[in-house]
Amino acid sequence: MSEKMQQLYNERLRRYQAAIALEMPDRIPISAGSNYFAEVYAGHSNQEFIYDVNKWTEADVKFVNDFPEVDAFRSGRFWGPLHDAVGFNMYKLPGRDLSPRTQFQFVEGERMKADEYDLLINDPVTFLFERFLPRTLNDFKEPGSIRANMALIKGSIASGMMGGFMRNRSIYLQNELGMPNSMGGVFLAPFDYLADGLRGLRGVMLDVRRQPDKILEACDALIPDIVNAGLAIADPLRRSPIFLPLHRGAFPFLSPKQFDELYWPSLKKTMLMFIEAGYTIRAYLEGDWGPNWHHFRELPKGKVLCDIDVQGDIFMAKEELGGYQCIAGGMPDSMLILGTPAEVKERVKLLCETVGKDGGFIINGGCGIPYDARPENFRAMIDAVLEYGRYSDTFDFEIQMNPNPPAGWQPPKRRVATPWEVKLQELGGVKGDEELIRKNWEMLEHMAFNWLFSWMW
Amino acid sequence: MINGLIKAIANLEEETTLRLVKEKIASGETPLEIVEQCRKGVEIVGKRYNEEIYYLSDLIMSEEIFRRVMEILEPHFPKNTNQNKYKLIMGTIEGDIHDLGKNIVINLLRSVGFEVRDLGVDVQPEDFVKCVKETGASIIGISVLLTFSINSVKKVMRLLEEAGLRDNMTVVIGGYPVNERIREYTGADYYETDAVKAVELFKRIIMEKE
Repeated sequence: MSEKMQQLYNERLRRYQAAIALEMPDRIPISAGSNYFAEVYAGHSNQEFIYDVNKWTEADVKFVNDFPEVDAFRSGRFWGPLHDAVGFNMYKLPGRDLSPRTQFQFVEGERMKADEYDLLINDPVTFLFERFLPRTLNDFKEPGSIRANMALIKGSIASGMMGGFMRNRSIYLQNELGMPNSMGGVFLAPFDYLADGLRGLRGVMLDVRRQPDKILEACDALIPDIVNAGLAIADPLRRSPIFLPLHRGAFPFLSPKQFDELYWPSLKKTMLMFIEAGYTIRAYLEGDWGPNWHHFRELPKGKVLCDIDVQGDIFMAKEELGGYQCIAGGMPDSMLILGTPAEVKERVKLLCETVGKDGGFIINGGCGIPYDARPENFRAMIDAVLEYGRYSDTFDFEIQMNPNPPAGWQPPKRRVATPWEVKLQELGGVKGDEELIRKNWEMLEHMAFNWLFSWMW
Repeated sequence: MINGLIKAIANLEEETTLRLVKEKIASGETPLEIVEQCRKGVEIVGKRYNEEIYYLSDLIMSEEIFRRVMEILEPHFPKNTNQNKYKLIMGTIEGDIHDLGKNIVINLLRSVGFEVRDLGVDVQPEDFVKCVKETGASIIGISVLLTFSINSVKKVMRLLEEAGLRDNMTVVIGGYPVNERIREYTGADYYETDAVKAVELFKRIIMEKE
């Protein structure tokens, strides 16, 4: 990395991290997951950047060159060929099922039946192979068939390739463009695993009334696997927060009582485990989380960046979360799409003078910049931040970067399908260093489990 | 007067509701009388939702109970009793496959006596207009969740205009991202983001039309 890029990278990352940690950077940072604004801005259709990974880098370069004031961002993470390899039916993709210029979309479904909680809880490997995956991966409808075996092989190869693309992209962004990732790795709230991919929204909402105890039990049982799967793809240097898109905890899906009993406890436990492992979290509070913001005060200060969606009131969010967690947002999507640069400038000025004035604030749209935002409005937003969002010329904050977890930290038990003891018995003992063989056996078993788990949403 | 069935539905007591419905059929009450009681129960559910006593999870539960009641009643309905229900067309706009909100609204509307033609999701603007011609309906509800699809709503309005159908037509847009600004941009008549309030809105529209 050139010295200039290193300097630029550090400057941006330091500003971003300082805001998350509730310190005062030199100015209000600008950071989003781009929600495909960068890619569309670069002139690509949604299909192109979902099917052609080279388009990601092209888009990154153009975006960073034209908007160098952005401090951290992330572009696409869907790679169509990976979905096609296994016939993943949880999303409709642009160019395949939808017009090439529209957004990919989630497909609701009941991929786990109401009476399958116990199997999920007690034997997730069997649950995945025999129940969930045949309903979720169209190429895996008949486990054991050639088609199904090929799907597993193609899918794991494609996942490995995808991991490579993401890694190379991060390195390119860092070394060539001096741009940090706004997030690395991802996990969901345990309840959302049930509500999104497993039971589906309708299913889980009926379970809330019919079998709440099973929901609770399943949420708790999922935590260790969620944490391990999240850690497996998080930034090994702990610089970027882990992405946490939050879905069905929004108002008015659950009543406050249902939220407190069924949604929050397992989510809090999960977040604390990531924080204890030395990470910060970037939570997209999608929809209106107003009634539940106060819960985020229960977590260690400055560890969870909360993106406030357009349905939430950013000024109220500041009142509730100020001094506890950094918040991001404030730019209404409809203004970025339909408004004028003058309106945008006024809005940013207001945000800087109010929610942004004493730190703990990052400017963004509602959980991302809409991809149909007018570029001149995005430009106006940035210019206005430079004009009104400055705190000082210098600031003290040391970049947080650590390849090691805090002393004494242990990951949750890593799940495998076939324990080493079984393998060892089959081998009839080994002749050399058992540890060397066991370690790698378990690593691959565990990675394979994470791969299966990754299809749950 | 609030009878046991109304109360059971209002309190979302699934099994009690189903038991009461079966008892009522056995004792000779007509399906229409039973539906009317259920409707009253669902109305209370809506009221509680407005007062934030109930939430979406509860609306979905009430919808499920109502669905199961209708399953029980279905064989007991006399054939071809197509009453003069108010016709309404509803669909999620092209490019968008979200149907949760739309389905909740449709079920609530049906439970209060509307006849709803559900065009499904990813509906082309042309198909809304075609359906107006087929059914003679004068109310359209368009669900839009993705900001990218707003222009397609605008197109529906333009096509209605071109077909000379705009004047007698009331168009309501619904979904999380809609607001006054988007309503104005698309040229729709009303917008609503809340399922229960949407049903109230449709009732008001009918009263105005009558």
